[in-house]
Amino acid sequence: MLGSIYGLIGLGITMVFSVTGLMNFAHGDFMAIAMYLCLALYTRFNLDPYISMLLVIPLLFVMGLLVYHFLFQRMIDAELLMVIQMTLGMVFIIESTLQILFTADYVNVPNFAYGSRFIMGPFVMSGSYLVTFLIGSSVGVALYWMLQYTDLGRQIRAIAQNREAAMLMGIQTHRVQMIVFAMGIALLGLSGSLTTSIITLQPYMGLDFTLFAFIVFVMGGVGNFLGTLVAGFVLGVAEALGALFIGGHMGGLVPYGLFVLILIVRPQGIMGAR
Amino acid sequence: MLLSVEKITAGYGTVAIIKDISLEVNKGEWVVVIGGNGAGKSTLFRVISGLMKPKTGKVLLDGYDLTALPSHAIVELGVIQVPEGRLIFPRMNVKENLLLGGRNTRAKPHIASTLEKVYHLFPKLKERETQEGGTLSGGEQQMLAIGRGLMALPRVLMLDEPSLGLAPIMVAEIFKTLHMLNQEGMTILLVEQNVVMSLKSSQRGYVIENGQIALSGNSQDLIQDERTKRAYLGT
Repeated sequence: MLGSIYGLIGLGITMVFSVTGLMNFAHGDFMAIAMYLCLALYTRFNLDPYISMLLVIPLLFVMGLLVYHFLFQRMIDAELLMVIQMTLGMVFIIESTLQILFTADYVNVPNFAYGSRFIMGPFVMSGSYLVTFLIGSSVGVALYWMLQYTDLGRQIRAIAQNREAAMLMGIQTHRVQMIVFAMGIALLGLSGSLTTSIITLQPYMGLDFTLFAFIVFVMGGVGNFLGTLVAGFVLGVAEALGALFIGGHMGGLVPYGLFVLILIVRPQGIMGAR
Repeated sequence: MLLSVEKITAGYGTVAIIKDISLEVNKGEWVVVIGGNGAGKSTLFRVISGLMKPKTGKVLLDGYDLTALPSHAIVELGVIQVPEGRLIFPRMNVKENLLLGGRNTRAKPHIASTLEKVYHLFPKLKERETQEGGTLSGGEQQMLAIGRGLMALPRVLMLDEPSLGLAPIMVAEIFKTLHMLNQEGMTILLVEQNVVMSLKSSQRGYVIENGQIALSGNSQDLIQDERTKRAYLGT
């Protein structure tokens, strides 16, 4: 059921990579920031994460704009290793800051759907999983629609397919790159707010999200938007089935095993071109 | 004059690829820049479109200085380039490619009628409307690139080697279309290696050698000129 969230996190990475060529190893840490923001709003003001989402998403968007403008934009023509260095540095800064502010305790932030249960045939599902799935997948579909059928979407795809030609069309590439980056971060605001009751918060979880996002990114076929969403969904299902039928550590290995298997059978990814 | 390039020197690092190049294009005129491989023709175009900043010199449109402007602002002003190698968007269909051409603020209000005109000019594109750009033949891709340029309602249409890699019959068709556009008043700046054809169809020409203007004048005179003949026509 978390598949739609993996899809969204991965789509952020895919969009940013295809228009800027940047790899952000601190990507998942912004989701951690979003989740801790929900925690802070919950403890201070008793706000339900589903409501603080309305604050967290725009906040993360602005954060994305600023981080892009002051850090990433300067790296756009730099060596890939420089970008990895910088973003790994950001990982340590963000994770340590979160630990200083919130301690390393494991916490969950409940939301109003958390206690409710839905029974579907033999399966019992928590309400927050259902809400996460519904919102996550509708946003995924909406984003895909935006990329295919709106002017902004066409601009994004144009830059991804040929940056120089996009410039000759009069597309303001710098502006679009900045918006896309901020959108990727804002998606983490959404994903983070939706999952505070499902995923236990701890300051060092960001890199795990990033790892999963990279798997989704590669598995979907590098740079393929639809493929990324599908890959996220497949990984989510694999994870859930692994936990259900195998369980424990072995169950947790299922999505990674599937990733390796898919790469062996289809090295270009689920929907990637050769 | 509509477009003028004044003493442009540009290159990469300390190497100057074009040196002290000046040229002019009047409204409604068809001007050709000819020169061999590596003569600096594409560099000149990159400078005019703002993809590359010159070390010295200016580019003026109607006397207005474009040199410091970003590429999108130059497109807004109507200086439109159809790049070498066509550079169409391979995973977008023909219509999407064309719509992207007509995004600037001058062209946008007329986008539907311009699209009709482009389809009228290139009926093949209408037939292939929903086909991905990357699946078209070379000639069709060139038509698409020109059509995409026309969607921007250019005041100056710049074309970088549109005949490159095309069959002679396709080249003739492209030149016929350009001739028609020029007859209707389109200002054209063409860069070509296809010397005879481009001199025959244009009004004025410049010959670039090693990044500098070696010769310039009326196209008919240039065809007759011994130096052009020696350099390009193999006599």
